[in-house]
Amino acid sequence: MNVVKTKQIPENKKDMEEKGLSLWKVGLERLRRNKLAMFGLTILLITITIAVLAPVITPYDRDAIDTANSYKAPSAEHWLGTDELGRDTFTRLIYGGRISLSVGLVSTGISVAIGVLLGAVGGYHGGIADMIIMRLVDIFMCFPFFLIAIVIASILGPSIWNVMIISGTLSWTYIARIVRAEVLSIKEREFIEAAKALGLNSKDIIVKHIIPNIVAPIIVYATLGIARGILSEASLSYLGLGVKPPTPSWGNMLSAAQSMRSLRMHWWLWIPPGLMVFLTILSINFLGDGLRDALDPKLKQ
Amino acid sequence: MSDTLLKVNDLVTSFKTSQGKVRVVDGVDFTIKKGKVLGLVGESGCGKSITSLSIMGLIPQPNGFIENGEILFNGEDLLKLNEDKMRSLRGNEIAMIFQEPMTALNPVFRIGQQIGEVLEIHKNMRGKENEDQCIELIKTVGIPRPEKVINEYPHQLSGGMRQRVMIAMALSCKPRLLIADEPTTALDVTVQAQVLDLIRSLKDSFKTSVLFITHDLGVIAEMADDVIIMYSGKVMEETSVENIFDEPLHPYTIGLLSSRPERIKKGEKPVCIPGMVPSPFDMPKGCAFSPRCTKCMDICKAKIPELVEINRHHKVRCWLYS
Amino acid sequence: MKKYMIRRMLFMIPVLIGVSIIIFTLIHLAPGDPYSSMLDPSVTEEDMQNMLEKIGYYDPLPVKYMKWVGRAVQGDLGYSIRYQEPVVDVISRRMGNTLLLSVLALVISTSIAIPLGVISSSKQYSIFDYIATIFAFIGLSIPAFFLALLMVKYLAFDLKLFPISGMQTIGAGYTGFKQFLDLLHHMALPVMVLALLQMASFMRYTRSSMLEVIRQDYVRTARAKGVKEKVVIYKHALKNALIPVITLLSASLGHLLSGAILTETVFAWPGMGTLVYQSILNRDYPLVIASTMLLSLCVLAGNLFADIMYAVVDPRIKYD
Repeated sequence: MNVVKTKQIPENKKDMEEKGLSLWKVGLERLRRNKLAMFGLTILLITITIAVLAPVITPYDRDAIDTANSYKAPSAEHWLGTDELGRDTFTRLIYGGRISLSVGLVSTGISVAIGVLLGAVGGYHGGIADMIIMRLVDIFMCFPFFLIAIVIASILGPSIWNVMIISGTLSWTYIARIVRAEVLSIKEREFIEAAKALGLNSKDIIVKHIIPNIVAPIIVYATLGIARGILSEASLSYLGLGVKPPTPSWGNMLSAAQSMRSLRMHWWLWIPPGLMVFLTILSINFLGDGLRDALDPKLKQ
Repeated sequence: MSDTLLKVNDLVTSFKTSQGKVRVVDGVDFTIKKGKVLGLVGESGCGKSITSLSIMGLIPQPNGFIENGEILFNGEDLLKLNEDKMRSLRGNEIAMIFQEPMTALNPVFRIGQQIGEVLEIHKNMRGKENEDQCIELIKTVGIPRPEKVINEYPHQLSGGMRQRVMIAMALSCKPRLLIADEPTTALDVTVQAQVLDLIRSLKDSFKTSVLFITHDLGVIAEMADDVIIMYSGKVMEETSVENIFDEPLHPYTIGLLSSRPERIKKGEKPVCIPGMVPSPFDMPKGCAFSPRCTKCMDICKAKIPELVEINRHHKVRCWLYS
Repeated sequence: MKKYMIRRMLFMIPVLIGVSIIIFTLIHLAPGDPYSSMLDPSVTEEDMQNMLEKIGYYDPLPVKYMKWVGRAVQGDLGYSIRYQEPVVDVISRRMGNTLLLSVLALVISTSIAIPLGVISSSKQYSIFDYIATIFAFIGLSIPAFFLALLMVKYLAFDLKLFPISGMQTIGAGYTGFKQFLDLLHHMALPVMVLALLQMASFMRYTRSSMLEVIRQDYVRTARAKGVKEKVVIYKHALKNALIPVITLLSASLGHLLSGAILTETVFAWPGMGTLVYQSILNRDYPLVIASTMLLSLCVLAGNLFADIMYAVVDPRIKYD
């Protein structure tokens, strides 16, 4: 008996198309359901908004010195007290947020740029270029990060740009590895398919195929990289090797704790910036972890 | 009926998902007689694996649960047993072998340890007695140099050998029921034939009943005494193996039979059943097979047919016959 | 496998060379010199220049580097400008102190983190798991030095439970068992900081490794054999899940040794961290280079050790 049907069944084809497009939609759905990630995202957005709106929120000038009122504890006029020069701590905290957040962003941008470039070049060209780049990766990966950062910072002197550059140039290795692996696997696949296909522009194919596959890990990595950048800024500035006063940053505000007296008695000078660093990094970690879960194609439901 | 080993009544197994509750096994009944082989045939997703896992009490947690039904093993309802009692049956009276031999064995334990574990738990065998029995079992399943294999790790064996080890483990305590979930699907054709021969001869010598799950009708012809065809969680046809091939009744069964590659005559186009198995979240209103059935009538789209006995020992769930 | 190990060790050499060149160059690019603050003001400019000429201070960089390499392979790592002692002596004194902290932190964090990770994975999505996950995130996110500062303020200054800094109570003259207790008392806070941070990442790692393993077919096989659930988790699953964890552990000693700079500085703990930091500030070149090389070597050795452990623990690698 003949069971072959001649009529097409439209519903099934539509189902298949919908399922193909929605990797991003599925990912976004999963992310939205992750409570911790949403909490992190919310805190981050609040922090960024406050930092951006700094002049609107606080009446004080960032660098306004008022030595008569130095080291005052928190009060109604100064929500987080004043520092050694009588400057309002709360004001400096939110302006400092601008600095610390931008260090995070820029340094990540640098490391992603370097990582993608070197990873792509190494994977695509192979041979000597690849070998050199891989050895570079090994060398950079075995550097104790903070140590080298201190060495470089002591050469270049304290400045916000130096912190960004240092942080960016020391953390490109992870992305480089991922990009290189992806390029290598695409290269293998494409050679086989390109042999069958009719002389299509291989560079075009590679670009069209590589980008979608590396976007997800780059997003996850970049998100977590911002946390790393903020931490580097805090650590370096704490030691006096980062952002130079009088520009406030969370890191150099923390350096108030270097003085025994301030550590013991002027908690409002160093605990708030420390807490902000902690909270920001925590939120980024929640978000980054959620992104990783959401965008991981290997996750079965 | 004293020659009935396993009787499944109206088994309903469901899963909790983010899109709601879904019934993967939807009211399944069947019987396995002592010493007989029941073949369970169906495509991927029809619920046959979950049926077997339900019998074993190994439904994936935490989302899976048995909503309804009875599983009577030697008259005792397995669903009413506590976990300890159920565990004493697993590997002992009811054993199971799985589809993927490459991943079914623990990579960090030696073969001897893995087989010996079953003997230790259920038969309290230890030491030399345990080791000797393992060697015996490995010999029985046709693996050469059993004394050496005992100390090897799974990755040192081929797929076919690993499946034999699984069989040895499963039959070590002479179970009354062996559930074989697509045991040869992942193996090469030549190895397939060997493993099937092995299962057949062992079941004869140990007088084990077998629930043999597969999507391959050719294997059914070789191994089974009786057959049930499953589709979308329900039994569509149930009869002896001869009847399935000589007098298939359900359009789905007929489709399966015609679409076997061996059936294609020279010059003819391959036949297939168009369409896809419906998603359990989006089931058709009436008979689950209606969208793909050439004989589909109006009533098929409206009401789900019952499983009805047409001839002696031949049941079918189709409006064409009731 | 032996060939693989030897190859890996050989690969370490060019990496070490690369590291040494980069460090050497960098530190010599730093402005300032180590001598000006140490010199007797009565020494004339000319005399100082002659002295510096003699010890090779004005040599071009590549020459300096080759001279250093030449002496280093003979075991002579130079003299610390600051401490006026052979570099080897200074480092070995300090290394012991850092090892003390690192090893204790590793032992404590492992013994708590792994069981927590296992329990967390077997009770996925429960309250226990939720709380453990949050603690882990906190541990991963808090800057080590900030946690150290908080502990110094609240536990040392305010509650006076622990000493503020250093390794020993100066001037107390403890000996024997009392000295040992005093040491433990001083170690408590820095070890807590290091251990807490480590615990967080280990716990997460163990948990995700267990979750991965529990999904595997062979766990289902174990259950189908009638194995008790506890045995399934703690024998069948855990032994597999621990493989990547042990690899991580093996690498982490190397990382611990090199990463404790800030924590040691906050607690004024006389270890490698404070040594490196001080010597960079003092431009004490021989010390900086030797200690940086040593710490990089620790990281590399840690990674190598991790590879070895992985091969030892996973039969699929061992028997190949």
